[in-house]
Amino acid sequence: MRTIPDDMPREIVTVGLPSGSERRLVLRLLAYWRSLQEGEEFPPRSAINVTDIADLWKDAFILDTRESPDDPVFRFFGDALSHRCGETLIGRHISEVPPNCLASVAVEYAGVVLERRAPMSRGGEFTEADGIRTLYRSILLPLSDDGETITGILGAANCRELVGD
Amino acid sequence: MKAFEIHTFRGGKWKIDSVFDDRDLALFEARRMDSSNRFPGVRVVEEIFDEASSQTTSRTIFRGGSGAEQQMQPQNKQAPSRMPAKQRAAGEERAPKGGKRPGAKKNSTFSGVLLMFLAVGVLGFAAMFGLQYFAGIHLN
Repeated sequence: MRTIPDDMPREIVTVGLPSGSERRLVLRLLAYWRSLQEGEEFPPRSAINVTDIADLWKDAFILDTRESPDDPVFRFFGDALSHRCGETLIGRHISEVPPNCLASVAVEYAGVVLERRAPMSRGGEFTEADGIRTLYRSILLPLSDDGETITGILGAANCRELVGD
Repeated sequence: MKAFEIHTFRGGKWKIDSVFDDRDLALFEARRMDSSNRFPGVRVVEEIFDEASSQTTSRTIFRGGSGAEQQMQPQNKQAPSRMPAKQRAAGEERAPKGGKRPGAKKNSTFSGVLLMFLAVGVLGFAAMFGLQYFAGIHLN
């Protein structure tokens, strides 16, 4: 497993982003993921440093695909996501995610990411358990410990409720 | 259903870099990647899947690194084909116009040469017999 040197330049996007906090989140996380690539197709999980993306971390999660690629396990689950879903999902499989919560729509295309071996971002509208219509945007970014086999997914999602629409 | 794929030119071929369902996001990211000069070519391909016909149509909506793109065209772009997609996917080749296959002309040439040899042989034997016949008459 390799580690990224502390003095390595990292490009974090903060200016000129399209409008909407949802878009800013996915583009910033994608830029961070690219900064960790270091010539490899996928960065390793060990390269992720929470202090680099401190303000994004609450909306982020990490999936472990090593044991069960078809049903990955949450190894990290941000506070904002926990609040939305009513519980933390660390140690739980994605098949156990409660329906109609932000995390459920954010991870539903994890299998496609593993198949296409590329970062993917999706957004849309869903109805939360309490009946509130919500717009969301999410991103899933493949991780690899050996640069070839996908061993994890770094993801993030955020949303806003549709009021009066 | 629409998808916007960012493709980058790496190692002599186009590879899918990332996939978005949002046009603005894909274009923003592609422009950012293009301006970083990290790749000789960056493009965004819009893919539209028609559920009714189960057909996907795609078109390029952004091309970055214009100079490099032109250099890549001869080896990457194929001439449009009128062959049905199913036939193309199976790697089938259609015979050229006129219904003749490429091997047909070779076969006819081979037959002609064979016939010519036979004709020369027959004429040769006839000439030999003729000479012997006339020689026999003369000696007798």
